[in-house]
Amino acid sequence: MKVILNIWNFISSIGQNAGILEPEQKRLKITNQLNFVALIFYLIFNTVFLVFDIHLIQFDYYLTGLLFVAVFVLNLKQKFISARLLLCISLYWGLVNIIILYGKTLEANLLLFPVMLVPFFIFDMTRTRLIFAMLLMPFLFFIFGSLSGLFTLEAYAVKVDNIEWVQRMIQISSVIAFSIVIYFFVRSNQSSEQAMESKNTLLQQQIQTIFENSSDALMIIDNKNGQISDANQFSVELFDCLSKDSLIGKKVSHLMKNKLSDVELQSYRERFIQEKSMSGEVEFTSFKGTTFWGEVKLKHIETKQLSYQLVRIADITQRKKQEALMQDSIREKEILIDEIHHRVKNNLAIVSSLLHLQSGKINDTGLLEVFEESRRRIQSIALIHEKLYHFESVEMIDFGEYLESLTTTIHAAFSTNNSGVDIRCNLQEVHLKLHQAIPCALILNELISLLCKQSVQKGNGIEIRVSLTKANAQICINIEQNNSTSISLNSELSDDSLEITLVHALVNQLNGKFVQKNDVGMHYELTFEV
Amino acid sequence: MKKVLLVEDEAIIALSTKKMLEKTGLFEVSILDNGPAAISFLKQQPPQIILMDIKIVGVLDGIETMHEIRKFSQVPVIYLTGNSDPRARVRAKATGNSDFLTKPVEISDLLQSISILLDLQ
Repeated sequence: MKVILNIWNFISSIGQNAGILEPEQKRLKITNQLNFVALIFYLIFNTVFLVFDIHLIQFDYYLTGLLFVAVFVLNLKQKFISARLLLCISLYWGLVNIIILYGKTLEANLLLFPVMLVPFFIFDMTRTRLIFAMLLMPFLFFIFGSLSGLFTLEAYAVKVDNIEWVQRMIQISSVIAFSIVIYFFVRSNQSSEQAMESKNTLLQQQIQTIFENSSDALMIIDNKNGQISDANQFSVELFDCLSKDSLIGKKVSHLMKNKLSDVELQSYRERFIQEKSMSGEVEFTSFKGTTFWGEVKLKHIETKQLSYQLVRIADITQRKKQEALMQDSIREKEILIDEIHHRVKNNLAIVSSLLHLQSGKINDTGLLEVFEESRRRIQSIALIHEKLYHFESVEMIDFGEYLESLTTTIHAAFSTNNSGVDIRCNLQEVHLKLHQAIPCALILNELISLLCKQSVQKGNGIEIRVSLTKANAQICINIEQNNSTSISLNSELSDDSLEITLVHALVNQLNGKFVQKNDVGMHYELTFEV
Repeated sequence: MKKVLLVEDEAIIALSTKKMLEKTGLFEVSILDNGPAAISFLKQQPPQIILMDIKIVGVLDGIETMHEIRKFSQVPVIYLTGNSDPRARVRAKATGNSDFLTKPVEISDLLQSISILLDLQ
């Protein structure tokens, strides 16, 4: 018995592998099993024919036997559809042979019914054309046989001595075959129905469990009257009511803290009809009068039988509180940063004022100039803090904009002497961090002031061109005296001047490169990486 | 000599600005450090121009003080501030007959601004 079971299992599993989907595996298994049953019948018939010395259409019978074996081979080669087509053809061909042998079509036709059921459960039901073709095949066999007169014993000149025994055997085998096929058919239908039913039940249970145990409030709203028709346990807890019955029949808008006007409600309805879903943050009032914030998502759901809205409310009260705290904290920090910038700039203004007061006691013009230079240096740093105050980042400034202001300030400082200083800028928008902006600003203040100072000393006009460019991470600043200027300034920085000491120290701080040329006019070039 | 009222709570800056203006020989500068004192002063000795710091000590800031002053005087005002906050600029502009300068103030800018406002008078 165990051996038979093993053989049966082995036969059933021909061609099975892990890559095949479950429904396809079932169809493959049934194909193998039916093919095996048909092969057994074929062998029994052939044995009987040999025992009773019935020399039937042997060529056809050997061919049918080969076809049954070929079905297994095709399944083994993963040619499942070809195997199934071949099984149907083999069964019909075998049937034709039996009908010829039997000689009476009425009883033999009994076999037709189980065989015709075979395509329904070995093929995927979506392959309706293939199933129809397989059903049509036996009729085509009969039409061809009837018209040609080939399917008769006489036509094959078969000598049958013990025809009565054979006919009885065919009757019995018809009943057995019919029972087997019906058994497979019923089992297949039953198992798929049961599987479907249990799947549906499981799915329903899962959906119900998810609905009831959701950590958000879920409510179903009837589209006809806009009232809550079902609510989960969390809704009951969130709205502080005794049971879901308290919620059923109510409208969600009635649960809101700030009641909506008819116009607002109409506007929301129209938007919802258009978009089929809506979301927002709403403050609700519970049944006990406490308020809470909810993130509401509304979704229109339409099935064949039902039309409803699913509402999900997530409790975001804590999040709202934290957001408010965070906003307060950000506001406080913004005020603090503003205050720090203001204080820094005010302190620089105090230092500048102190220098100004001190310089009031000095009559020496050289010494006065030293004080003025110092004030300009302070002014250039103060300007950085003013730009920082305006920019959205607390540590970056738009250096192009800064340079524009710096040149304006320097120009204003030197234009009082009718010097004719003209500064022209070509500046890209370049953002620099504070640690680079301050040294860079001081360098530029030194260089532009130096050119202006020399121009004033010589008593001639000068045009200075300032350009700021950025290529990849490289910043390049050029300050050049216009070639067309009639005077030639000797503004090369001498090694012992304060300017060169400051510029070299600040260029080192920037890890940059500084080049000065004096061809037609002075040209300074400062480059550094950001 | 034109009378100038400077409202500034930083003594050094106030002194420096006063010296800067008086050095020109055109102005006589009075210094106060809070809004209410400036309002009282204005009622008794109205100046020809006010230089008003925005962030000053006391219950009223510079702009609030000017709103109070505007109830009885249209004297021109130049706001002086450490940082030219755009919001403050908008608030300051609303008081009318005003200009806005950022500290440290250059004498050339200050004279230009005073000149424009007094010419408008």
